[in-house]
Amino acid sequence: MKNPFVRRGPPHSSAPDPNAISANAFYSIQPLGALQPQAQWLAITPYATASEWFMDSIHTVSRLGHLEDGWDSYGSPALTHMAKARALQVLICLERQPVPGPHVAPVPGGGISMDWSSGSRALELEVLPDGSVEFLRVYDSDRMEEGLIPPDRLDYLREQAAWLTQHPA
Amino acid sequence: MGVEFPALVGWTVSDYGLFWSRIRSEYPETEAQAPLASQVERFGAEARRAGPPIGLELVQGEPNLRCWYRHDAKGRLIQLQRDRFLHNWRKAGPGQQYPRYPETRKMFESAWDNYLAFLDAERIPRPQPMQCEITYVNHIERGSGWNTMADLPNVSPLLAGRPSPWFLPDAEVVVVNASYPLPEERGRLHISLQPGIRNADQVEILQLQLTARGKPKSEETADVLAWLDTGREWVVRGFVDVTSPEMHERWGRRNN
Repeated sequence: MKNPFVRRGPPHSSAPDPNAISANAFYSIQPLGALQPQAQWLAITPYATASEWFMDSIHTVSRLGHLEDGWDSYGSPALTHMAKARALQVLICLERQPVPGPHVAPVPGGGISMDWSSGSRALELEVLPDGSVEFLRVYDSDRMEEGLIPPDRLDYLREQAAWLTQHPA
Repeated sequence: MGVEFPALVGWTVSDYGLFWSRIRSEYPETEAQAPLASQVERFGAEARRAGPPIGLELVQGEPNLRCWYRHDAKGRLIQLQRDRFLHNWRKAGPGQQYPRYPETRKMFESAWDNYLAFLDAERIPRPQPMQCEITYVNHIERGSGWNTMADLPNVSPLLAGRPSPWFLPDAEVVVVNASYPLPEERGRLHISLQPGIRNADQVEILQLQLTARGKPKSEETADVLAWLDTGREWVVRGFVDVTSPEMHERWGRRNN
């Protein structure tokens, strides 16, 4: 089913600049407290203030979750529940990071991959069918590093995002 | 459920740890969080003078922080910062009942008394509550009464159905914020409804949040609790008003 919340637009377009002065509006307002710390125990990621790439990616993962066995014509099983849940967890974790939008695609075997590129660097996160996450960093054209992100170290994802975007020009 | 007060004089970072040693058996986990901004309801000339809130904090001395003291298995949380004391509850597991108000009120009172006793023991002047707050957060999962934004009028009468003919397609995102004054400027009830994804289990939800906030008659604990009773009544009755009979039927609401 189509996700009703997705903002359509160019796949990797950036969110509107909240500081931009709108020429065709008398005034602009920001939702009060949208990014303020909240007193609630169970955190949510509100769609109203989420970045465009996040909404697009959530939509894509949701859509991939409906793939059936044999989706690739070679007998691959459907995306596993664990892989889908972990992929959403990864996206939630990176939602506030200044990363470009990822390319999200299914992986034969029941996993899902998310690829980012920024300048001369590229990052691939592959969520395996059992929900574990592997990373592959590519830089300087042909240099690579890979490893595993433990399920209890999702903060390490933010380090990966920082590596992707905070590099010398 | 909680209280806001002017920042305690004499409260230091080490007091977060000392207080934990007092409640550790009941709240065995801790976590540091960014501090909450002040949210005080103002009315009339005071509100006009105050102007819009700005996100600027001038830090003098130790930076402010918020400490969580949790008991995950029991679904209890105390949030403490120099100018705030909050007690939260949540269902500890899918099969467990959310605690009823008399029980949560008693737990809040006990935790608050414990906090005051700690301040007395450390010779830190007691807080002077200027604001009480009670919040109910309801998560309505996708598939439980709604599937798309077009279904929202079935969830809440705050949203009228689309008139006919209607040019616009289904909305992608709908956010509702409403606030209602309590009589005699005793506070306000704030209601917000917005879609999102619950971080813990990645389930799409509508979050319906009702927060009553206002000033107690005095700084006495009895008046703090009396205000919370009023706030709770507004939250419960407001919840009934802003949710549809269809949702009441789905939730099996009792008319009492």
